[in-house]
Amino acid sequence: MSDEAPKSKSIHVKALARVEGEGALHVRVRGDRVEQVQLEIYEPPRFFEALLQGRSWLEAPDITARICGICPVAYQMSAVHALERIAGVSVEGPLRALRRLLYCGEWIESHALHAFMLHAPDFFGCADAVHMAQTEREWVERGLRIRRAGNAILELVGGRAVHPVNVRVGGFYRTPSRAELAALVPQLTLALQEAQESVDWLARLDFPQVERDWELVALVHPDEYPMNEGRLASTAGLDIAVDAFEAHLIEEQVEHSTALHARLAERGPYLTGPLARFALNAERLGAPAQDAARRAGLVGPTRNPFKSILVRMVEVVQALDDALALIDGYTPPPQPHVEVTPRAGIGRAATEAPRGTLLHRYEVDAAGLIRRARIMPPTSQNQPSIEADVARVVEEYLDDLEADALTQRCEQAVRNHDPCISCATHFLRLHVERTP
Amino acid sequence: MIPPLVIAAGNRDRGDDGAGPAVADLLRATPLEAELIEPRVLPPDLHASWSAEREVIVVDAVRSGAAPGTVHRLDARAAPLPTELANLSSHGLGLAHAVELARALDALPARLIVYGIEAGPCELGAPLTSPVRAAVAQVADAIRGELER
Repeated sequence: MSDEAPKSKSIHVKALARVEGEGALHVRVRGDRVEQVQLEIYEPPRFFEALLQGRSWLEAPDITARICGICPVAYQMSAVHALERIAGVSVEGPLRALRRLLYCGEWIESHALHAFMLHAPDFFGCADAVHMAQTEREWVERGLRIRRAGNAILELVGGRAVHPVNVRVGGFYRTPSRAELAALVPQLTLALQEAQESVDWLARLDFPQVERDWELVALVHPDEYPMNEGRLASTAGLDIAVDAFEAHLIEEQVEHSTALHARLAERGPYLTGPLARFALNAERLGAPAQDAARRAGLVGPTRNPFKSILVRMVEVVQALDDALALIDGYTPPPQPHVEVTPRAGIGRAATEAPRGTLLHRYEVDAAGLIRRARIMPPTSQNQPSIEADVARVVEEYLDDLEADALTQRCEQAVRNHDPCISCATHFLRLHVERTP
Repeated sequence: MIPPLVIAAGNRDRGDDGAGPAVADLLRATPLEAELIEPRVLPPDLHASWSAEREVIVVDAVRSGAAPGTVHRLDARAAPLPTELANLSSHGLGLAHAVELARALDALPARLIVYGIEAGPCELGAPLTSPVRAAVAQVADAIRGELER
């Protein structure tokens, strides 16, 4: 502990509650200055990139789905798109639509869990959703219903809600009938209405008035709010094909975390996730989501991290609106997947996980065996920005809040970014020697 | 008449967190007058899996500070679950949270008995420790007893 000077003060939040995975936050303050903020990740590193080496390319979507229990579809989608690029295959028509529908299910489920169960209680001064249910019961019930609507999509299109099993390179193992999809419409229609009402409910919260000047990075697609495709763009002018990502996004090891930290080659830390997607793609939201955003006062890029909860709920409206349109326009494809044959090559893809941009790169040999895999999850990209954000929050509230309240505010600042910490733990090839 | 529901939660691949599934294995070994489900992680809306008139038994690994293998039997309708039954999963909100959320939403079933098996290490790939293995057999017998009442 850092008690070497009388004015020095440390805040250690040892087990960070209500964040996916496990992490710890260390903040060191001297006087009114924040000397150090470290978001420490102590879940054991997961050796997924090494695990993929020597495995068949067809196994990648099922293996990488296991990286996260909340956003497995994101891993599956980044994997199949990268591998199909190697095979020279493009999946179009109803199969493309089903993939977007599946992704909508994940956004709905993940965002609803985060917004209602993990994040909203912070704004009501409640320890958790159980406490919040005492005063906001109907909203807790709505949140759970919205989440179930997302799960219903995952169960039907993905085969099951946790770690879906129906995704393969080239498409799916089985595609649903029109009648099966139509059976979801009443549940999704109610969820859409409740999500729109939830945006209005959340917009009435008391948001700390802060702005951050970070560079926001997300996929941008000319015709749709981005999920599976697009160019990688930023609010500071980055505009590259995903194939070029390694020249621009640099990952580095840091001592206090098993997650790599990312930065933009020329400029430094950046942020991916809902705020970035909204800043770069708001005009491609559908009418219900645009209306909801306008009612919530979200006009133009939002740089207040506390308002990420509003953007997440606007994205739930978008995902439900999209899902209903995709179901309405669906005609079952003649085959559940297009034929794919392996060939040697390198393929990259980025998709928009609920938490932010998820990049995959695979090198496959002519027999279809994976020689190398690289996975850049959103939390490792966001971690430097999250740490800087927490440092600002501590500075802003240091004199105003008691120790417990400040600790709570720090946790909230981390939860603003919905970090999937177990996703962000990363295999290290090199051991870095630590010096005190 | 709807058969009772037994929810045996946990992750078989994480040491003593596999206590719930191990109880399910023992219960499944002989005919059982109950529906048995085995979620890896308890969902926040656990109450969606039961109806108001149902008899429900939940078994899960817990960590309260007691010795590994200690069995807690709690009647959730009689009193709130102690918050010191800490959550073991890094991905779910946990047993006490799920049950107390059900209570807050007036969604407890007619009878809700919770068996918590105090866990030791939950390392990836580790087997059950011997005190927890013994507790698993004890809890499976106790659940059979509950179902025969």
